[in-house]
Amino acid sequence: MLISIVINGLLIGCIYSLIAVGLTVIFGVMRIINMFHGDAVMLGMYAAYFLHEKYGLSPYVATIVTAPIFLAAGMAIYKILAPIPPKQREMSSLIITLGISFVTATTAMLLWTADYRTVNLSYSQEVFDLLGTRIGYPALISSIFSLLLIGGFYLFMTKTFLGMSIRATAIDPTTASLYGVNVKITSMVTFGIGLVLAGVAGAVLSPIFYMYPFVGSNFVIKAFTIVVLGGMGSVTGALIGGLLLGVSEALASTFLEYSMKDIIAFLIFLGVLIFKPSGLLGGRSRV
Amino acid sequence: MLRTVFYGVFLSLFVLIQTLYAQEVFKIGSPLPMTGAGAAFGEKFKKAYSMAIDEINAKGGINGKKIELVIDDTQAKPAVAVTNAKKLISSDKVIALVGGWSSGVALAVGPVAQDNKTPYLLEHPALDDITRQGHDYVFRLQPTTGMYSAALEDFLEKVVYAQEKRKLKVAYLYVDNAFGQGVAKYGILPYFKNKKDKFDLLVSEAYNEKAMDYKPLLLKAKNANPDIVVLTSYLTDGILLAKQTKEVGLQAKVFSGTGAGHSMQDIYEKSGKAVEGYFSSGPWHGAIKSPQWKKWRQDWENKYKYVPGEHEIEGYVAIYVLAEALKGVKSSDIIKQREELQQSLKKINMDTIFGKIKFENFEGYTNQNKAQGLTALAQWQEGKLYQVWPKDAAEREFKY
Amino acid sequence: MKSSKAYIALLVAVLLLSLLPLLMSSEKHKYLYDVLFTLNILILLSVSWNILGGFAGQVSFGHAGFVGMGAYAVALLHHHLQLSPWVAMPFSGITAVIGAMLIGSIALNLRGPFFALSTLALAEVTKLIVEGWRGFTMGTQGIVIAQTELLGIKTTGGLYFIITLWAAGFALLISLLIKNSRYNYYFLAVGENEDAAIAVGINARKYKLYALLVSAFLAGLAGGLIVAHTGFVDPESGFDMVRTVEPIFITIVGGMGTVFGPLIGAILLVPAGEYLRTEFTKAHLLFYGVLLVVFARFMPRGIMGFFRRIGK
Repeated sequence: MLISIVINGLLIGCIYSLIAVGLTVIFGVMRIINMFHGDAVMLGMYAAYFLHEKYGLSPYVATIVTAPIFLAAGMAIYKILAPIPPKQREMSSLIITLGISFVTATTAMLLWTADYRTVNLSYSQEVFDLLGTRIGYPALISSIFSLLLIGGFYLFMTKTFLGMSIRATAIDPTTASLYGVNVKITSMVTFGIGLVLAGVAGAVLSPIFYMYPFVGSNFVIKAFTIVVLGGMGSVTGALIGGLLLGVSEALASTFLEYSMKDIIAFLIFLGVLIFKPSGLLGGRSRV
Repeated sequence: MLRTVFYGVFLSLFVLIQTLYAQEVFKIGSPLPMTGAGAAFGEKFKKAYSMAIDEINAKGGINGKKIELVIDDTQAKPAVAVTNAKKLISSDKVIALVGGWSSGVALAVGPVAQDNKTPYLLEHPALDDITRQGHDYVFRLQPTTGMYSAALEDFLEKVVYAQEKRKLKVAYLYVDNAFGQGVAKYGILPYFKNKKDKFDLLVSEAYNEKAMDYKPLLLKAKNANPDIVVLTSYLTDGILLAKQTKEVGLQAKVFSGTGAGHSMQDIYEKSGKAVEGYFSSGPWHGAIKSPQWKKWRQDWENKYKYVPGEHEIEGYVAIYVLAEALKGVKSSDIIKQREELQQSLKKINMDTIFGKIKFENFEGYTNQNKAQGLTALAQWQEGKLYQVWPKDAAEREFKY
Repeated sequence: MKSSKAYIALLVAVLLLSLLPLLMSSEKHKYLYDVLFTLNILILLSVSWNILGGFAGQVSFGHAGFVGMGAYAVALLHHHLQLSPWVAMPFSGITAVIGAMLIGSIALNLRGPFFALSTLALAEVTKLIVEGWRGFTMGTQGIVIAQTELLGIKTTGGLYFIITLWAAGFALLISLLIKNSRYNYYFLAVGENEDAAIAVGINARKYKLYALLVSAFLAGLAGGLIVAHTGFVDPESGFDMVRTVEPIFITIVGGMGTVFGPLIGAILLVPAGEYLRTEFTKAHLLFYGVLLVVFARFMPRGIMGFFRRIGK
């Protein structure tokens, strides 16, 4: 049973990580707390749902269709935030993204009703056996897909010019601009990429979770926990933070009373904050 | 500075003061969740009330007056609901309040209704405590959480235990909120405690309704190798639990929900049919054999294009109960009207498509419908929920 | 200094508004008084948040935690010892202060966003403890507080409005006192650049703790006042994130770091929110969201900052 629990914890941890990666990138580069992130996940879920219902597209394939839209949306939101003086930006962007979150969730409700929806795939109930652990195919595919995406994103951040520009901007925008990085465009693209990742996370979640217009708020606190746990701005940190959270929750809920599981997660979080405030893989030069 | 403050305050006063006007209609107020996680349920009740009100108004209303519905959004938050209730009572001058969906909201609205001598009719918030506060302006027509599991208990003992003739292992998982705690505290837990000779409650866990992964919990249940799994769930958690139960391979002779999520048509489709064969014990879906019920159900499907469940019938019947009681309201002053309505509700003794409605004081409850026979055990069979127990109310034979 | 003018204005405003129930019966205008109650509470909460976030530069995401502690202090004293909410009320602030000391011992070691997120986490932990400790707190089932009267004062209506008005006035008074004392300079120094403040010999931790404790006391008091009014509390509503978020955007819209910013923000946003909710049952959050975006985008320094600039 222990193996099953750890495996399940790792699987859900991959998904947690994917939700957090987009948030950590935006936070790391711009110090913007994006309250809209959960709603972007929600939109990703609905997009996957409609593409599946109308065109029979698999939620995983649907991400290719939706990615450019999220990129554009993220860049547009950045355009709203950019002119605010840097000193006020941190707090103002919190309020603005929260405002956009209200607008998005309410509009989603007016357009698509408040009903709960799920995506049920043809292989929804098929089960795969791994070391005596039964894993549903959607859960397995979603987790692997998340892992691949995070890996790909890591390569993007370390191997491409754009990725390196993003990291440079995160470390020190002034120096980055001296080396020829266009900080404004980089920041804008970063915000776009952050939202693409949120949208993809939504698509990946759609076969294993449910959606309704206000579902986004379910993810926000958890995602922030992971971001801080892993170190703000760190992609590998988000991955490790997510996996750690997934496994510790699974273990806590098995060996303690189920209601203890969230407390354990937060205690780990606080422990990390106390002993290493910059997070497990903090320090701004890391990825 | 000071001036700005004063202007601000008085400007906001003027915006809020609403002019009084003569009561030419009976206004009924409802604090409902129209946004947030409960919005889907707020929408169900709104449809149910509107349907009943439209029917009554089409027949000329009550004593020549039409009924008008005023909804205020609670966001399912008790503190907001208190403001909602006060706004409905003192600004909209409603004659009665109805509904609220969640038990927390009803617990907060109850004292406001009592304080303002405005009848408050509950048709869904089920926590027992709500009608145990001694509020004589608070009425409840449906069974309380403690009654939800009655039909299941009866079935387990008379059918399952009678056939197996051995001590049965039970796992119980319930949602950690007022509703789940109510069903556990007033229904399931004392029952299994009393029947220790017949049932062995091995796992009993409250879970967070917003969790994404219930597999650790289900593995824990699976480890106990239960004969019976009882679940008290809302809709979303119920969907995930059903899907993940299949995933981890948890098996039992009987899976049963206790109303709420497990008795909604949504759970069947949205869980990808994972609840096929599940039982659900809770408020029944009405006197399904009566022609009036059949007509109502047909009308509902024609109007709203989906199959109604417990929420819809409760909301619909609540309006008819109020309408019946409103016949006893003769005066024109709103304060007197409310008193007359309260008196009139006290005397209600009517048969509805939801069953017999009569508000009584008993065993610490005030104005609670005893709701005898209003709980039933139903089972998901080929995509539909059929009542299977008690025998005389059964539409189909149970399968187990 | 013109600060004496501000004290007098505050006193006169509170006294004049205290007469309101004589002019307009609270029995006839229950809803109006309920909105005014909400307004007072949110002024109190926003001022509380502003003392920590605006004056001392320590942005808290955990105010809901202090509100919840205050609310549960009153509820539990009522539930277990049958104390009237009136008698229990001072404990709401005190409990939050004790909670803040514990929270501060962890969170005050951290800076900037780390501080903010640790307060968020600690507020969540507090909520989860209340949820889990069923035997003492009744868990998710919540606690009902019967309406009680003390000296004829109900926890609703005109007199209750006056009490919450004074609570809000008291918070503004404290805010003014801080602004006009030397603490303001220490707070400013710590908020602007903590390392520099420490370098010139300011005990940064001490001043951050002071700001946190004052802020927590006021927030806890708000929690106590809310729960006595609502008559019911469960972890979900007691520790509702909205009680963190609302003071933040009220303060930012009004003007962060100013004494009257939270007041103006509340006077603007509370009636606006109320009007939108009653007018647009389903779409109100949409309009409210637009309002927030417009304000934060075009007046990043808040209304106070905006007018100050125009004045210049």
